[in-house]
Amino acid sequence: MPLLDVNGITKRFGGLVAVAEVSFQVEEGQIFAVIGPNGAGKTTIFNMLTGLTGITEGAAAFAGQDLGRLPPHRITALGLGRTFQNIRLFGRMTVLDNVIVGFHCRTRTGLLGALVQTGPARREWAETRERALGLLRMFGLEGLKDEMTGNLPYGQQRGLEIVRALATDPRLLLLDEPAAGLNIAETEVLMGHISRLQSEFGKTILLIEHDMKLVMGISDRIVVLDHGRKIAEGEPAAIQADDQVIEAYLGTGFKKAHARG
Amino acid sequence: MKRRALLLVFAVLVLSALPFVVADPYWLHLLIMSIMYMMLAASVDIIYGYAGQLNLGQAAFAAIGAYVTALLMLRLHISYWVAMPLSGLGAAFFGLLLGFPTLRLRGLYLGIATMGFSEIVRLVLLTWSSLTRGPMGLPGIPSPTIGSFAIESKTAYYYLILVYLLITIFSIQRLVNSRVGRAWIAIREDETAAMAMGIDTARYKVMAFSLGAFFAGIAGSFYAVYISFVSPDAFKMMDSYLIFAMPAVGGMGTMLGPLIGALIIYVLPEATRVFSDYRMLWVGALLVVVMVSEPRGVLGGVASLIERSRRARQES
Repeated sequence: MPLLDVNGITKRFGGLVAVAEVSFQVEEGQIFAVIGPNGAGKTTIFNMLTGLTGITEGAAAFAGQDLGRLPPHRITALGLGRTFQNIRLFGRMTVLDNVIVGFHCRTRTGLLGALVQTGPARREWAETRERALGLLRMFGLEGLKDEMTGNLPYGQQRGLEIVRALATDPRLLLLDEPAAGLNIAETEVLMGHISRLQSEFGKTILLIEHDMKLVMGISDRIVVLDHGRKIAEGEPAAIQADDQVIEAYLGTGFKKAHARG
Repeated sequence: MKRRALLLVFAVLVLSALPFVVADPYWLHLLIMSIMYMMLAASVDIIYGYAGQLNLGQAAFAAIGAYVTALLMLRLHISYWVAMPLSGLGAAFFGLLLGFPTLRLRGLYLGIATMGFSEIVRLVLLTWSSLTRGPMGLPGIPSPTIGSFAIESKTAYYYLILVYLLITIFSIQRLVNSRVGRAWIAIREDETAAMAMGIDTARYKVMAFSLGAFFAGIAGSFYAVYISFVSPDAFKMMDSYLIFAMPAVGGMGTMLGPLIGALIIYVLPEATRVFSDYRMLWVGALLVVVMVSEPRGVLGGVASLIERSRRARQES
């Protein structure tokens, strides 16, 4: 059984069809990329999978569980973590607190526990803090823990968003253009991080990205969308050679550059 | 950390000693009322300052608390110490009721809905004469008693409201520095991202509403026994706006902000009663000036001053 089974999902906004009958399966442990020109419906698919917008037709199942009617917080609790294309960190919170919020669905303290500061509540808070610090340490952000997140440079914000998503303890991590706006050096670091997510943390990754070097370098499998429809699916080498993909997205220059390189 | 604790103990000691210094009953009354407003300001700060939900009807919760206490004590002769928590719970219940339908509203639309709610509460209190005596209000609310001791003097009321305020602030601080409070702040900062972090945003928004209403209800309950009279005019729409403005002026989502704001907005105009006719004018002007020059309020201004001087020292 695939970890994520997307079966003919369609999204209509009024008369506009943003996503049309797209299907694909993500196996546990894969790095799976979704590519395509702007407006192809990539982010809409992410929003449907994470419950932020409804699925008009079709179905998506995560580990055998139908995602159709679940609210976003339940989907996160199932093990689907995500980042956003236009970074959505909690700006007026410290870096550490951002990660602590990520642990929300894996912790339990409620109103009473927090007010009375019961033993379990205190232990949980201390533990959460330690685990958040641990995650920051692994990604080299520990020194920034007390910084206001809104003040961080762009590249570090991108990194922090991944760390925060990791705190929700996802089995499948949805990364929406993690390299957008990063320079070459930052993208290299990011590629390393993403590979580590797969190898060290055993995460399955679904990735939207425009940086073709990154996508071709780390993906196990790629789906190509154009105007809401799936036009190709396969391994990186096959995608690069696909005439339809080159026509719609990569451009003929891409083929030449790769033929030369 | 230690310095903070010492400062806190010092502040509490100073506050406890105030009634011995302030002999004038008028000034003592001002102090009592301003502490009550601090409590109201802190209560609305839970809803807006932390959870980010615009609430322009906080005074309605205080009115509900005041009437619950008045009615329970006058009609059913229930002890104040039972009526007081019930007032808080009653207000919290209405906070819950208001919270649910407003889950779909954000920002200004939510603000308008809460204004409507506060006006409904006023109208019900005004027109349900068989229960509330309408505009005539409910006079003769008895004083709270502890054994044979009755809380009647201003000094005694001062200590009562001071204890309420301290409990309120203590509770809010504990909550804010917990999983619950962090969830509120996350919702304030970015609701979509909060959902993606697994936060049941509806639940936490309703929780903030009813908790803020709870503390406002307790403050209203205090008002009922302190003034010993409640009427639909006790907590008007205007009070909602002023209560809302207090944390905004002082510094939203901070411990001291609502307290400073309450001092500025309640005490200063009262203390300058000579200009009574114009005081709302300059309170309004002050709001404009603070918001334009430092959107984070007085505390935010102080923070950036400290930051600037620290940086200047580092550079020199």
